[in-house]
Parts: sequence; structure tokens; C-alpha cells
Amino acid sequence: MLEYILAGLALGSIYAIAAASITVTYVSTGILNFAFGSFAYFLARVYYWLHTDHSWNIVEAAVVTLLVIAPMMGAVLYALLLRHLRSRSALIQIVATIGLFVALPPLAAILFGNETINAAPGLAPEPVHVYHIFGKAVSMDQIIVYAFLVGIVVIGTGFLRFTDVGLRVRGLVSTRALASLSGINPSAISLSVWMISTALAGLTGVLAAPTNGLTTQGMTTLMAAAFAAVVAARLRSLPVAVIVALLMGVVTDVIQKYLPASGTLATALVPSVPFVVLALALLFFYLRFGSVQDVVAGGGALDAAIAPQGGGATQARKVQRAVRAKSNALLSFRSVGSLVVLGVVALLPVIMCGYWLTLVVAGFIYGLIFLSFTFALGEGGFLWLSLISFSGLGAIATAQLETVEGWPALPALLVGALIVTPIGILLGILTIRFGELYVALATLTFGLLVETLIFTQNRFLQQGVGVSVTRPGWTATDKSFAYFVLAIFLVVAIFLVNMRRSTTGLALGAARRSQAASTSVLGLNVVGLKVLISALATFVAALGGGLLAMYSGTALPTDFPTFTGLVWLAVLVTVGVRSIVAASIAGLAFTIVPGLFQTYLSGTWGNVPSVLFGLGAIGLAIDPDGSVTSMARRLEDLFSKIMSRRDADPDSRPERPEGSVSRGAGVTALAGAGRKGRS
Amino acid sequence: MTTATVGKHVEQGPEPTGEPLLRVEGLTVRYGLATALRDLDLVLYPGVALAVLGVNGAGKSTLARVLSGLVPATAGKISFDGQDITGWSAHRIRKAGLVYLPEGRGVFPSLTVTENLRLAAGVLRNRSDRVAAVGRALDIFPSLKARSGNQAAMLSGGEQQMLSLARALTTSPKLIIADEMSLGLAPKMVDVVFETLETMKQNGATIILIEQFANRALSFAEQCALLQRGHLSWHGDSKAATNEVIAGYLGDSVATGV
Amino acid sequence: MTAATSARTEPGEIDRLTADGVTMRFGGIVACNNVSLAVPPRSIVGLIGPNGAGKSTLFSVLSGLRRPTNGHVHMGGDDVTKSSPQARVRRGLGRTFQHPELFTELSVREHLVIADRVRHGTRRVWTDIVTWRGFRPGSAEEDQRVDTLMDSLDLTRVAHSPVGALPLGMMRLVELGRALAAEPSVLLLDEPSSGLDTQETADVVEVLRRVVAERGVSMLLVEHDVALVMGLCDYIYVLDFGALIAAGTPDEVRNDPAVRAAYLGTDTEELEEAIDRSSADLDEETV
Repeated sequence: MLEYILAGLALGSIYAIAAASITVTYVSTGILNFAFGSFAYFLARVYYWLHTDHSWNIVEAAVVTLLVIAPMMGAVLYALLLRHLRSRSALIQIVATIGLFVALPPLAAILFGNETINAAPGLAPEPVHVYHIFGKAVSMDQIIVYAFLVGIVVIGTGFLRFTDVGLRVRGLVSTRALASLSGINPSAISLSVWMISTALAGLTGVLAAPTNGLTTQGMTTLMAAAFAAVVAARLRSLPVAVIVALLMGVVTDVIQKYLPASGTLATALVPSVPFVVLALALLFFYLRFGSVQDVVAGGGALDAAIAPQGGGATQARKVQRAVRAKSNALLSFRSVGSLVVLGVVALLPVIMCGYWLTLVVAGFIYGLIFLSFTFALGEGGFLWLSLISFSGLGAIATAQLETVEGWPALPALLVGALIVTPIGILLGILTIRFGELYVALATLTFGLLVETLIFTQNRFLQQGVGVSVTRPGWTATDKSFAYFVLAIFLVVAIFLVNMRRSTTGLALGAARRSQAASTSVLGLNVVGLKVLISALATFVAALGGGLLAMYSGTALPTDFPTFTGLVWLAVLVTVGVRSIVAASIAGLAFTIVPGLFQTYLSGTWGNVPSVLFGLGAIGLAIDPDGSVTSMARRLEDLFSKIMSRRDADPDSRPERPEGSVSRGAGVTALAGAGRKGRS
Repeated sequence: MTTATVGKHVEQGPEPTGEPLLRVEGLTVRYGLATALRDLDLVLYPGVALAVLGVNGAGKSTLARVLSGLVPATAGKISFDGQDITGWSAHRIRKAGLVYLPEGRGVFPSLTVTENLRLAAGVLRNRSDRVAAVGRALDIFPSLKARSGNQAAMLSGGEQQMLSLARALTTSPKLIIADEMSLGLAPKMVDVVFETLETMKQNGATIILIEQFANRALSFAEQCALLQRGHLSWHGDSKAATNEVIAGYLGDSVATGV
Repeated sequence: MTAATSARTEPGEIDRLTADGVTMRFGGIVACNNVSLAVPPRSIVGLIGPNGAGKSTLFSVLSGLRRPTNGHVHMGGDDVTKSSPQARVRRGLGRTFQHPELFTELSVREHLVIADRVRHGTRRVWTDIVTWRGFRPGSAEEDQRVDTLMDSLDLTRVAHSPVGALPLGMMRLVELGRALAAEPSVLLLDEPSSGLDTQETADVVEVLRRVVAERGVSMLLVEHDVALVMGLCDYIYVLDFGALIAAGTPDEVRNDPAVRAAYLGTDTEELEEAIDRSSADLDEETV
């Protein structure tokens, strides 16, 4: 028993350091760091590079990584990105940190090499010495972890309690406005907090590497566990976060004692501990407070009073231009320009062949999957980080129906997607009263749960081969399959356009902008609308997953890790979340850009596209009003200049009004129902 | 277009001393779409107390917030103590000697009374000065001293307001902007608030007193500025203000004439 | 019950909205103490009082966001104390917000269209999706109703602008229009003039008058600008410290000493004398 507790405490300590770091960052800077896992991965990779690849000794490598590079990285990111984020909406904050999350690991691969590292040395000298306490084995690695947690708690508490700087941090957390009225410089404090928390992220990465492995997946799981503790602490309480994190670690290891070592139950239960903690915490808050809303970090009445409201005249001008652009925007389904683009896209399967054709077909399928984001984020305004899991489930369901049950391909595909839909509806209902931050956290954890719980079942995994899926007979060639996919894409797209232009579309637009007015003025059934959107998004994601499996010939659950889902999100927001054409372009970009890099550039340069996708999402945060920050934006400009039948109007570029991703790139025809003709 | 100079009345008033402490020219503030202050001009000389009156939403608090750097000015210029402070951040303006006591309770609720005062004294360079400043502030308010280890959130409304004042007293600011200090306080506490402000005034501080309830403010301040929909609709000597205030609050304006 | 009968009300008509002895306690604090008021048909009723007087609490009790500790709310004679905000909307209670709650990316016309459809075609919200309604034009009656409403609000020329691009004064009119499209019997207006300049305020006042005359709707408005309330309302209620301290026509309220004390504060004799003097001046002016 004791040895399980000791091992659990080690795991819990790592969680605790991560949770403490995330909590402190959130309360003092107002940003929940969704890139924490990537910070940990990147810095652990730096340490590995110095220590293992370049044979630096442990102390030197650790000091340089954690006390020099990590704070510098925190400072640079603060200066370039994070300081812009505070005044942005929660959605933009989440998407931008996810962009960072997506960009850092491939950057590490470019800088330090592509190798997969499943176990990396920690801070203890190799071979790791094992001590015996009360007859139980404790490794040096574990002792180091305990020591760091104790050290951080003692030093951190002492610093916050007894020093003047600590007092200032606490003042800032208490109310930011009053702190600055007392002569405290909030930027200086935020900068230091980011430097320290980046160092702590690096520390958790280095400490976790020996057990979790030096992989993005390992670090994502670590981050999700820490998030569970942070949520249990209602994003505020440092002691609660640390204690819950420790308990989670202990529980994780202790249940292993009572479960058969290699049983499916153990493999199922162990990774679900964070999810259970998160779910219980959310349930508790829900029952206690009736809803789970984002608590504004460091909030008093005064902070609320001076919070920026909209963009005033500048914003008004932008909205005006956006609407003028509506009529001739490229990324609007109605406009001639977008029809031309769709036409060109439709010709691609004829023009391309071989390798490039396969990329085009895959691109079409991704375009369809990205439409599920267009439904969820673009229409519903909620940020689901688990849509990829629905794609994976769709693939699995299609494969089971077709290959195991012997159904024909098409019904298997449709029914497979229908089977998955209720899960999405359930998730939608469960998260309906959550704030944006909690929706993102809950769906992220849900995705990881599906990944570890369901995707690992051998029934679906088949020793890593997956269950085979065959296409409908009449789509045997890639070209015919391409048009099959395109047809499905168009049906979904037309459905989407019709929905947008119908009363429901207006109602959704209304509910997205002001819930208060939707319910208390119009008496709209917002819950029903949100459930509808959940169902549609899930169905489309699952359908795309099924098609992807059909195309590759096998439903392999490991093709759908939650991390990749974040890359998808980054790609789509880079191009535009409200537009149908943007979804198709994003799908093609997602397959063809890496294809170009792999074909024409060698080796590690293949990681560049992922970095670019991440940067695209980050760019949204720095400049949501769209002074061209991404490749796709430039393309869009170029096209609208060429395609637009009207006179070139420098203002005609679709705008990204501030404040919400849902109104992001590519303003689409709002298609006023009952709109009168305009001159 | 409202153009007014409160300071010019100082010519008849007590001791106008050379340079103005605060000079505001063409100040406009927009919150989102609403314009909270429009083209406001104001001059305030050292040692003069100014009452800023107006109904809720007239722009009083916005004036205080823009002067203290909490919200940016959309247009216009603010000079304080000989420096152009337009666009300065709040902490820099505080260090320049302008203290804003915000509406509601201007204290850190989760910190103790002593910690609140330590933070306020943080602008002083010397550690010994800081310790002395905290001690001095506690001496002025014995009831705070008795509760110095308590969290500010645990104090009564009146005590929190005292703490807010004590925070201003730790240093010797040049200009104090007190925003609705008497709101929701028992009459006895209101007396304490005004006595303290009086003491600050005697010690040479210039005070801008923002109030919705006019009478007490008018008897305290020499000068009065009346805000209406973000305009400076009247300004002048407090003694002459009562009629104007009543007209501004209850009297005829836009709607009655129609 | 306080009866505020306006000149426009026929005898025997039932009040559109009443509060009867509404008391609201939060812990030990009494935010509203036994307040009664009535909004008769086709009248504009004002609710004023200094900051913290309990106006917003009473407002949220009337709109159904809070349930009173004691007392009742009636609409057209029916007890709605326990009805949800949505249920009150369906019974004919409309409202606007102090900070306009608009759907920034929808156009002015779309705001009115959706409110109209919620009133006249509830089921369309769902059937549209399966019937490809989005590709067909709206009905003629709907267009007629919406256009008339836009005309009476002076919004026709900005019909297709997104509301996010409009000045605040027009946004308030759009909010008003959205509320009116649902054909309410009573409108609750939360500070309709806050943040507006003098001209915009005059425009809003003008439209409010016209709307009451043309559509026969009743209004209850909370305002800080007492002058506006005095000029616009048929009847005024004054709250202070959660209690009703005065009620009456604008002239009655203007000259009520309790109202003056509430707004200016009660204090030294000297200043009370000053008020007396100035109110004497004011009386002379009024006469």
C-alpha cells in the first residue's frame, strides 16, 4: 500500500506543480494557459537536447533550461503574444493559446530533431538510485519530485505571504484596477508571473519525462490532469488545486493496487481519474451555484466598470465595412467569387493525379469535418475541443457496422454517424450552462477520455492495424470518391446556408450575441437551439471520420488523437470559422501544404506547416481585426481582388470584428430572411 | 460645446497660487459607443476643493477614472503638476501624486487592514518611511488599529471607507479624488469621512469631491462643477450653486420644453 | 394599491402592470419595502430615485428575474408573481436594457423580423430547417408589419445596417423596435437615455411619445435624468432607501420636499434654508 501511495505522491506532486503554476497564472494575468502542455514538452525537449544529446551534466542542463531559457521564453511570449490577450474575449484567449500549443512541438522538432522519445532521464543521475524507506522502494527521481513540490510550496507561500512583491501580487489578484491605483505596475507583475510559470512548466516537463515519456500526448495528458485540479479549485484557490492534484496522483496509483495489473479495467480506470475529478467538480458547482461561469480573475466592481466594451467608433466602422464586404466577399457562399472558388475546388480531382489526388480527396474530407467546427463554433459559438473524438467514433462505428456486421458501405456510414450523434447531444446538454472556458476544458478532457478509454480497446484497435473499411463499390477510383465526398460536402453546405438564412439562423445569431435578450426579450428556446447545433456538429464530424476511414481503408482510432483536433481547430480559425468556402480551403491546406513541404523540402522542414497553422491561430489574437497575419488571409485578399467583379475597393476585405472568434474571418452572407432588395 | 474654467473663480476666492495643479483641455471619453465625457475643460489650483455634482450617468466617475489613468482619454489633454499625463498608466499617475479613492469600497477585500496600508505606502522609496506611514495611518483611525489583522472584507462599510481614506493618508498626495465616499454610510460615518477630508484639506491637499448628494459637498468645497450628460453644464462658486443644482437635478431640461 | 390614472385611461380599465406591496430582502438588507405602483393603459409612468434607492431591484421583480420576498405582481389583473421572465414576455411584457443587448451582426431589419416571427410564427424556428424556408422570401404580412414599425421608429433608412455600426441612440430605437415587434402591452425601459447626448435624448423621447400614441402600449421607465422623466411621464413614483417616498404628477413630485431632500441630501440648516429660498425662486418661475 505504502509504495503505491509513495508512487502516487510523486505523480500527484507533478500534477500539483503544474496545477499551481496554471492557477497562479490565471488569477494574476487572467489567462488560462492551454499551451501549458506544450511549454512543458518544449522545455523538457530542450533539457533532453542539452543533457542527452550534448552530454551536459544534469545541473548545468537543468539550470540553463529552467532558469535561463524558460524565463526568457516566458518573457518573449509575453511581449509578443500574451500581453495582448488580456483584453480579448475568452474564446480568442483559448484559441490563441491553443495556437501556441500547436506551434511549439513542431518547432521543437525543427530545432532539436524529430525523434520519438518514450522515456527520458529526469533530474536524477542515471542509473537512478533506489532508496528503501520502511522497506519500500523509492527512486531518486521520486525524491527529487517530492523535494521540488515541498520547496515550491514553502518558497511560494513564504514569498506571497511575507515579501512586499508577494503582497503586490496578492493585491493584483484581489483587484487589478485598485492595484494600479496604488502604484503597482500590472504589466511588470504579469511579466514576472509568466517567466516563473514558464519555468515551472519546464520543471513539470522534465520531472514527468521519465514516467510519462517525452511526447506531446504524455504532456497533454499531464496538462489535462492539472486542469482537473485547477477546475476543482474553481480556477482560484491555490491550496485546493495543490491538494486535489496530490490526491489525484495518489488515487491513480492506489487503484492500481486493487486492480489486476494488465486488466482492461485498470487501463480503463487509471486515465479516467482526471476526467472523473473534473466531472465531479463541475457537477458539484452546477448543483451548488446553478451554472458554471468563468470567474473573472482579479475582479471587483471597479474592474468591471472600466472593462472595455466593444470597440466604439473603430468597431462600428469595421462592422460597416464587413457588411459592405458581405456582398462581394470571397468567402461568402452567395457571392460569385466563392462560387468560382468552389468551382476550381471541384475541378481539382480532374486536374490532379497520383499522390496529389490523394491529398485532394483527403482535403475534401477534412473540409467536411471542418464544417462541424463551422456549426459548433461559427453558428453555435461554443468551442468544442473534442470534435475529433466524434470523427474517431464515427470511423469506428462505420467500420463495425460495415465489416463486423456486414452492412453495405453507405448505410454503415450514415447510421454510424447517427449512432455517435447522441453522445454529442449529451455533451451539449451537459455543458449548456458552462462558461466558454469550462466548455473548452470539459470537452478537452472528454476528448482525452475517449482517446484513452475507447480508442485503446483492442476490438477497435486490432493491434494497431484497425478494422478495415471498404468504400462503396461505385467509388473505387480516387476521382469518383472525390466527387462522392464533394457531394456530401455540398449537401451539408446547402443545409448550413439554408439554416443560416432561416428563422433558426437568425435565432442562432441572436443567441450567440446576447443570451439575455434572446431569452428575456424574445423568449427564444436557446437550450433547444444549442442542442440542435451540438447534434449537427457531432453528426458532421462523425460522418467525416467515417469517410476518412473509408478512404484510408481502415478505421484506426489512433488517427484521431485529441492533440490533432487542436491542430484542426488552428487550421480552420486561420482561414475562417464562419464560412463554407473557408472550411474547404482549410481542408485542402491541411493536406496539401504539408504535402508540398514533404515533397520539395527535406527532413525536419515537414514540421513547418504545423508551426504555421499554430501561428495563424495566434495571429488571430494579436490582431483579430485582420491586418493580414496569415497566409490564408493574403490568399483571400488576392482572390477577392482578382475575382471581385466590382471595382477594386481596398476596404472590401472581409473583416474580423473584435471580440469573438465566431465572427472571425470570412464574414458570410447573413442572408436576411425577408430581406428587401438593395440598390 | 462646454468650455469652462473653474479656476477663473479662484481670482475672487482664497489665495490663487501661481500655476494650476490640474489642467484639463477638451477632454472626451468614450466607452464603447457611449460618450461619457464631451469636450471638458477644467482648471484647478492647489489647495482648492472642487465638488463635482450630477445625477448618475452624468460622467462624474468617468472624469475621475480618466484623470487617474484607469480609462484612456479619447481626445483632449490632461496636465497635472506641470506634466502632461495624458495617456499615462494608472500606476504612474499615482506615483506622480494623484490619488483616486474609487466609488464603492476602495480596499483590497482579501488582504488584511495592515496589508492594505502597506500596499498603499508602497509608492514610498524608503522601507522605514513605509513602516512609519502605515503606523501613522493606523494612529489616525483607532478603530482600524484594533482590527489591523482582519481581512478588509470583514470590516463594516464605514470601516472600509475609513480604510480607503487611511490608504490615501499613508502618503501625502497632491490631489485626492474622492468618489461618492458617503454613499450608503450611516450619518455618523459620513461625518467621519468629511472630517478626514477636511483634515487632508488643511494639510494642503487639493481635493476633488464627487457626490450625488449635493448639500454636504457644497458646504465642503469652495468650487462646484455640475455635469450633465457628459457636459460641464455649470461651474462656479459653491455658494452660488444651490439653485443651479436643483435645476440640473429636478428642473427643466430637454424634455420639459417639448 | 396606488392608482395612477392618466388622462388617457378610460374609467374601469384594468392596469396593465401593478406591483402590490412588493418587499425584497437580501439577507438583512431591505432593498424594496412594501412598494406598490400601477401602470395604467396607454400611459408612461416614471420610476425615479437616487443611486441605490432600489429601482433596479423593483425592476427585476417586475420583469420576473427576481421573486419578491413579499407582495405580488399583476399583469392585466392576473397574478404573475411566480411566472418566469419568458412567461411574462408571452403575456405581453417587453423590455429594453440599460446597455443595449443587441445582436451586433444582425441588421436592423433582421432584429425586427426575428421578434415578429417569435410572436407570429413560433414554430417556424424549427420547421424552417427542414422546409428550405431559408431560400424563400418572407410573407407579405410580415414585411408589412416590420416596415410599418421601422417607419414609426425612423429606422427605415438604416434597415440593412448591422446594428453594431449604429450610434447608441439608434441602437436604443432598435431595442425598442424589437420589443414592440412582439406586440407587448407594457414596456419596461431601463434608462432609455443613458449615454445619449441632448439631441439623441430628445429623439428618443419623441419616439416614445409617438409609439404610445400610435400603438397604445404602456411604459414604465427607470431613469436617472429626472428632468426627462418630468417632461415625458404622466405619473411618477419616487423611491428612496427602498421605500416609496412620493408619487404623483410631475408637478406634484417636483415640489415635494421629500423628493428634494432625497436628491440633495438632508443637512445643515443653512443649506435647507438655501433650498427653501431656491424653491421659492423656482415657484416664482413656474408661476
